[in-house]
Amino acid sequence: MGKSRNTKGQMRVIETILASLVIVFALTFVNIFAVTPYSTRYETGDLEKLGHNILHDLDEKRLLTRFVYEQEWENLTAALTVSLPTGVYFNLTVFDLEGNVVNNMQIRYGHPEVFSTSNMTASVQYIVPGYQTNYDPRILRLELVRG
Amino acid sequence: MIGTVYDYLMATVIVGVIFVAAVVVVPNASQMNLLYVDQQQLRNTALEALKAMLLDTGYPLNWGSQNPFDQNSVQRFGLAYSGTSSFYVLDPEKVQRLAIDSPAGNVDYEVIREKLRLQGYGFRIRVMPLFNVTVDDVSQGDDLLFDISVRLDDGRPIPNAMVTATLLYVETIGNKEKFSFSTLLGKRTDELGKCTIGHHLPDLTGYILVLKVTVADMATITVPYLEGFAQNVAEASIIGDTVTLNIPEGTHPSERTILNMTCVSEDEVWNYPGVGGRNPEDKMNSGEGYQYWIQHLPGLSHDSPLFLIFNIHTQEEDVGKKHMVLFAASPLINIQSGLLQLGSLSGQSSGGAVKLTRSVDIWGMTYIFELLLWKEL
Repeated sequence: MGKSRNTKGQMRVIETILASLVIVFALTFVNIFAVTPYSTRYETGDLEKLGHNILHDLDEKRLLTRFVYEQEWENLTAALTVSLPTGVYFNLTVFDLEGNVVNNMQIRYGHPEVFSTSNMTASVQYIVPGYQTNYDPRILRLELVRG
Repeated sequence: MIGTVYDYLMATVIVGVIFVAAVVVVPNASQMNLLYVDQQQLRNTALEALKAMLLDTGYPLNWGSQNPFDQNSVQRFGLAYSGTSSFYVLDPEKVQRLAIDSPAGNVDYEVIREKLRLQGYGFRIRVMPLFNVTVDDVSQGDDLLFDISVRLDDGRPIPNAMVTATLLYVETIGNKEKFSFSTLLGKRTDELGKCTIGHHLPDLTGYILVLKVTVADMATITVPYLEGFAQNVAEASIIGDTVTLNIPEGTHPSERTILNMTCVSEDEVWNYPGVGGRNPEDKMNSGEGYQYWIQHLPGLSHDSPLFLIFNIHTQEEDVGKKHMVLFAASPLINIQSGLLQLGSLSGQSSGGAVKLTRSVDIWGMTYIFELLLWKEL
């Protein structure tokens, strides 16, 4: 009569361990993929609304078109700086319809590193169709980050 | 036999580790996510509340213009101006109803909370000018001298801002007092956001300085107060075309006579014709029917007055002789601090608060509208 090990209990234990691991992994997996308020999607959503609000406000006052077409880049920088809340940095680029950059100086507030290192950059596109009676659209791309 | 015991021991350790992980780590991670979700919910609520405040006119459409005002008649709360299709243009008469000390009536914090269905949440609304203007009076004798500093909200200086000043003053010529005003030469701020404005005026007995600061064609107009008593001489509300003045409680009850009124808009300063004088209807005192000075001035709201400066003849406490004092009132904001604020930070939970800001247009001038929302304890 040979001795035989009772392996039934061990298998149950292993099954339990595996089942527990599956549950733990499932919960961890869910937590990793949960969209939190600090995720890029939510944060940039608010910044996009804010950016659009500021450009729209300047446009309503007929300042945006004047700044863009008269190339008053310093005024445009100052207007955006005073309009945006503390701790929000911006970088604005003006394109023509062919995609060429029109602004010959930086329209920016904040160190360039802030934009390159931030993983939460909101981008707003705003189109101005023309100035006075001239149809000559410009596309404004406003990038916003929180410092 | 030993192998089986070893297997069981190992299994027990592994199950123990998994148990600890399941009990400690997973709920912790979930707790963090629940906090995040809670904050996200707060952010969504704040966004919805801000949208309702700034893009909705409320109902009735002109609820801010009702006179007399009954806050219970406001069926839906919103501050947008009904006369335009543009976004973020606010009705100044509705904004003024947020000022708790408005003698013409205001909407209470609790009423706004109920209308916006924010029960369980605390909030604070602030309406601020785009930049801060501070004035340091360094006048000596007849030489008026003001050090002006223009800064952003976080204290950063604004260079190259255009500062223009209008001085409204009372001077004594012989035994008579005379009210007048003059616009001073404009100056630009230096790299530190500072400039100095001066003017020589002999025999001055009182003055108010109106400053217009323009940065990239965006203006802020402020009236820095340089006299203490003048701002206690009256309380004012300007709703539509109706101006109401009254004597504040707890102040010297001497009779006040409104001699004239000066209007300050974004573009100019001028004497408003046909207001005030020495008639009985221009007096305010504690007598029946004289507690309020009410004037209906057709077309006033069309002039978009940012400030009204009143020249009032009255008697200061402990000063026997009557003299003229200048009193400034704004239909928009608490001008002493350049800020309108409703709600306080009391009752804020440790879960933090969400702050949202938008740029708004009130009577052609840009202001920052800030909403801070938190869950109450």
